[in-house]
Amino acid sequence: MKKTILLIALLFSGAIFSQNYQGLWADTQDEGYYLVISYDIGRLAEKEKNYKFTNFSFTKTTSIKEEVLSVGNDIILNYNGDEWEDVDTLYIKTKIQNMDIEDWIVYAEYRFVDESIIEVLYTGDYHATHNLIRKEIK
Amino acid sequence: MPGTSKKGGGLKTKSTMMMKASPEKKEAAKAKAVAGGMPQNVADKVFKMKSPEVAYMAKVAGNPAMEMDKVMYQDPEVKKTQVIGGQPRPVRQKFDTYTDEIRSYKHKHTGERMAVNYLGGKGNRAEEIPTREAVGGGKQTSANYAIMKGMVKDSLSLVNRGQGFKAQQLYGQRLGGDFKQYGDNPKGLQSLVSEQMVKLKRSGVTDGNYSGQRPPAKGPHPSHYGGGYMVKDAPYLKKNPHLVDKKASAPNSPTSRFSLGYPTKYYSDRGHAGRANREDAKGAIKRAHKRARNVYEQN
Repeated sequence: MKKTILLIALLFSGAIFSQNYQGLWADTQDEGYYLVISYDIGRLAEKEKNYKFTNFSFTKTTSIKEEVLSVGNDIILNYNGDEWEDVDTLYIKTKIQNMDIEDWIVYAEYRFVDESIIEVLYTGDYHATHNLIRKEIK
Repeated sequence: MPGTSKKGGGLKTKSTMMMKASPEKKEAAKAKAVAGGMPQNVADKVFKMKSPEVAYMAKVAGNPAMEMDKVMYQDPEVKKTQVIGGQPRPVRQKFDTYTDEIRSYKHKHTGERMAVNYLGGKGNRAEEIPTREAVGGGKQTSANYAIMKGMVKDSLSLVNRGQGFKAQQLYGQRLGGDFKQYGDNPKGLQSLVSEQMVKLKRSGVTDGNYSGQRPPAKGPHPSHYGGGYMVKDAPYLKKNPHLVDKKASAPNSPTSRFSLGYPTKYYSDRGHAGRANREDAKGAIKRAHKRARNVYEQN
């Protein structure tokens, strides 16, 4: 019984935090590039399928396809303005393809830095670390 | 800004540029980079690469006013290292340009808009560490890698928030550098992790003193501690800038001729917020265990 309650609590907290990826993100290293992350809370059984990544730019018309490969647990040390706290988060690994360029594949690993910043590690045909900042839609 | 590179978007992406770059164009870019301030030996190394970073570096080097971004200092050819950062520091500034605006967020408590100092930005530390693939090894190494990477990130977060001394107490002077130098193989990484965990666990002494030292026997300003085992190389024995005796360290002070100006202090858990205490060490150990557990549960 105790274990069941703990499991439900864990699932619940995971579901709540995972939604924090939801939203519009702007790249600090690539001006004009945006990423929309959608999350469907109703399909908890397959974490990977709950997410959808949509890339777009106001200045480019390139078709980018991004599929989620895996989702896992992570923990970060976060300063919330008053004190340091341990925050359980998720990391997401994806595969990115540029449909306009043949055999151009990049793997990305998204991790929270804090609630408004994501660190993205790119490997494959592009090798760098970028930060994404959460954009507010007014 | 690294330009229009990411994800191969558009015609002038790094990847497409490099796929079509002729040797003549490469040479021209190299000459421009050297003229722009890039050292010759660096240019030689960089322009041997087949990576898309070359195009960006050429662009940056050709424009000395444009600061070369640290995020690009990864070795794209061999992919043995990666750059990571911690929680960046917010910066107060005006938001009158597009660039500033995308790097801002609303302060949690005041609602004020703050700029976020991004990875590799001014005053924001980043570290180059080995990639997971470069280290090799199995699941145990994956766990060690997660622990070490997490510790480096935590350390950077503390440093970025002005708590460098605490970071040094908990994780050493430059953990990211040690990780890169000694942790690029499973055995080296294991040693580093063990060393860090031992350092953190030393705080287990139950005298309310993070350092593990016994409290002074008596007197308000003890010059020494009573018997028992004295740790000599512990990070918490480093001089604490927050507790420097300013009078003693003043240039013309008579005492400064006979001492370094850092009188012995009794460091307790009730000390300055900038110092690590036992709870900080316990928190670091707890996070390390959690990160390792995550690896075992997920793979």
